[in-house]
Amino acid sequence: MKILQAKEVTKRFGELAAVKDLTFEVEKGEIFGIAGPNGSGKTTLFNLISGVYSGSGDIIFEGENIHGLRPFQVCHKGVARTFQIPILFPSITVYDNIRVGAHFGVLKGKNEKERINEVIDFVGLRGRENIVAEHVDLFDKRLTMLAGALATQPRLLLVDEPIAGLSPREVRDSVALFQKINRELGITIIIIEHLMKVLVEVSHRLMIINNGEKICIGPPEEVTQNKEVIEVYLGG
Amino acid sequence: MVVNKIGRKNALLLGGVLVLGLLPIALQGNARILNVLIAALMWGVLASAWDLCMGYARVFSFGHLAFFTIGAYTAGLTARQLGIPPLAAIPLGGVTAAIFGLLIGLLCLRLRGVYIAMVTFGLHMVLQTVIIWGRDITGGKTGVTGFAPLQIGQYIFSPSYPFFSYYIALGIFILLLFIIYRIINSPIGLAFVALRDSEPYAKSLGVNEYKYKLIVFGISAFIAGLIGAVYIHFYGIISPVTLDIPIFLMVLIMFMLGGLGRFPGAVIGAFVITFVTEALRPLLLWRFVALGAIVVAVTVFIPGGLMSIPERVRPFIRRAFGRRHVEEEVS
Amino acid sequence: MTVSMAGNLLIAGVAVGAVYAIMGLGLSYVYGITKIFNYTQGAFFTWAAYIAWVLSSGFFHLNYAAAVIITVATMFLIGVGYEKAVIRPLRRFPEWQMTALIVTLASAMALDNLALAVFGYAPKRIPHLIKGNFVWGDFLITRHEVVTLVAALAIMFLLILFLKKVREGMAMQGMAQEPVGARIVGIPIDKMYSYSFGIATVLAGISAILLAPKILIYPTVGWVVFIKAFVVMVFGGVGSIKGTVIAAFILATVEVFVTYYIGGIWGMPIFIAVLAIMLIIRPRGLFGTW
Ligand SMILES: Nc1ncnc2c1ncn2[C@@H]1O[C@H](COP(=O)(O)OP(=O)(O)OP(=O)(O)O)[C@@H](O)[C@H]1O
Ligand SMILES: [Mg+2]
Repeated sequence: MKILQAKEVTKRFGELAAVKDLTFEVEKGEIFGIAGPNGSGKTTLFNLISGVYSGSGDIIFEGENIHGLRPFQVCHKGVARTFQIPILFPSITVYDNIRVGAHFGVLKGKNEKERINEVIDFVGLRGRENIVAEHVDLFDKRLTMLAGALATQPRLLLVDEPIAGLSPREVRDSVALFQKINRELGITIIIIEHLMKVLVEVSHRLMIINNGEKICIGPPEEVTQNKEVIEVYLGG
Repeated sequence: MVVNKIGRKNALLLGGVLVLGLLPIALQGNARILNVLIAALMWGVLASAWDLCMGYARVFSFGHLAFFTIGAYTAGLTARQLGIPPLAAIPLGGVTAAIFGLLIGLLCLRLRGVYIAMVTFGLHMVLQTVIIWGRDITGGKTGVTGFAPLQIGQYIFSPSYPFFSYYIALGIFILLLFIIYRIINSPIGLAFVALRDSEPYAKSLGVNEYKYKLIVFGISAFIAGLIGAVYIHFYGIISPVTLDIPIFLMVLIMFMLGGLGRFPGAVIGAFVITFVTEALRPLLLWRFVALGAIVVAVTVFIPGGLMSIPERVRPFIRRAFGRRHVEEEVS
Repeated sequence: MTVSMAGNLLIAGVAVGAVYAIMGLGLSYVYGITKIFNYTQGAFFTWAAYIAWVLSSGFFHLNYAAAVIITVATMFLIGVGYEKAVIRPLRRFPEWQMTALIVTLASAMALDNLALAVFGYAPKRIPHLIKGNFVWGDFLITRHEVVTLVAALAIMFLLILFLKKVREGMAMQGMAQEPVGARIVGIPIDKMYSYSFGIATVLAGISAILLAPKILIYPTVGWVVFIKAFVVMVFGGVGSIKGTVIAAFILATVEVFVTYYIGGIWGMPIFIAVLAIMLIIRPRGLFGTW
């Protein structure tokens, strides 16, 4: 079953087409990887799905076109995201950061406290939840962002370069966490990542884009053998 | 540890209320000081409502003195023309101001930052002009007077009955500040802070930014209008002078001095500034030069306001008593 | 209404519009580059008028050209000094543009009241730049108005030239569009800020010299002009030179006609009404880009 279908999605900034006629599908339950050179339109694609921008074409989530909805509406439909640059609410605690997602991301949410505590334990932030967010380190910032997104109880999670700048151990923990989110919570994940090794390890299927256009899509082994991919991305 | 912190803060707030309650007795009913204190209480409410909008939601409104004035004029005019009793006229002032707040909020929905300041300041300027030109209704430059005062038995809520009026004002002050305090600590307050800290992130977590912008305009304009209505009942008069720049700045600097978005900083600022402007009275013409200079100095030298001083001082204390503090942290 | 009267009013309107345009450009220009909405612009207008008065009819009885040159130079120094002393220290803090708004408003109040304390309530008068009229059939235009128009056109031309052709000007524009990028490329931001305040203050000064002879000078005279310039800026679209100039001429012409036919007291309400309507219908103004 398809959880997300993008049909001829295009977004222009003036002359520049940051995303161009992009068509692809994501299966329910999979981890779907996206890679591409800098400026190839990956983040723009996330911004289109999550309602930050609107362009042309259809974005169909669980059978419903969500293209053009506002970000909070997309969130209520069941799509959560994290940001490439770890932005948080720096002036409040990690707990309150997550509370924003738990309270506003879920319509008629009950047992708010319980859900927040579950998420804190799930991502492994226990013990740091009362620190004011601007004082936590990069890894905890990423975890907080992820926890906030999970607190909205999404069925689709978009993560944008979640391991940039992390230590090897933190990268390993992150990979394990994504797999746990996917397996135990049954959440479909779309992940943007530059580090091919990690992406191949974590994702079931992979899409490579360049200049806003799809180059190829398929299982990791296949994609990494693709001539064009090697040319524009892996080689260069 | 967190519980302790909240407990300590609540204890401090309660202590503050207690001090305010005992002040008239300590002052032995000194009429002059009591009347200044009453003014400080009313300004404290306006400054706190404004701070809810500017400090917590970071919606840069320059319209709150206008909302205050709208509340005052509504209460005064309905009381005079229609004979509405004060207890109905005062809430009516709040509601009318809230309606204006919502309308301005709608206008500002897609604007941000400095643009909102320009639009809301537009309201401020329009209002003063409308009041002056519509003198048949509003009384023009002389203002509104001649309505029945707020009276309980033989006591009248006015500067002539400072002891009685102080406790009425204090009651209203506590009620409205309690409302503001509850809002700040409710999910609504959380949404304000989230949108302030990072709008894109807040939106991605399901916060509807339009809704909360309207809410903050509505609530803070309501409180501003309500206290405006109380103000006109206390003094028995209001005129377009209220909208003059010195008063605008005086209220602005109250919460700037207290600390933007640091409840109850706005109240502390209101008390300090009300007494300082009172003390500056002998300077005559130079008073506003001094007030302007104070505003500039405060913003340049203590950008976080008075409420940030404990935070700023703590590292120094920590350095001075280094070892003891480490132990405290561990335990 | 006769053709000649309408023509004369139109000429007067255009001349007043020129002053509003200069003042509005000062506001818009500082906003474009520093993102500060500068409330002191009005107080600078007042002070420029008083300085010109002190130099000419007030005390020194200087030759008028000398008075103008000294006033303009002084205004530049005041603008640059103001930025250095007051605005620059604010820039250390996050969200300083908001604090700057309050600080410029406070400075305006302090400067207005300083003018009141120093010069008193009694209004002052300064002479026209040059006396006499040009008469052409039924049409009449004062030489002062001709000078005003020429000055306004020259300023617009110079401003556009400066932004498009001169290195510093281009740097300023770059900064307006890409503040972060500008920092990386190494544009001297401090200098750009001081200059933009200096230039805007000079524009306030020139407006004062051109307008003050036609009105009286009193301590809050700058506010009236400032509010009109503010409306002009919002109406034309913040940051747009073209919009500001067009809006200034439209509004000034309307004002002149209204004043003539209905009465002077209606000038301000008309501006305010226009502002209110514009904010409701199209808050970004005629040519605004945001
Ligand atoms: N708001 C915007 N306005 C104008 N251009 C934009 C905007 N956002 C993105 N772009 C441009 O669109 C292109 C794609 O940007 P995008 O951020 O989607 O790339 P990316 O694949 O996420 O790159 P990276 O790997 O560096 O994160 C870039 O050329 C970028 O400059
Ligand atoms: Mg990206």
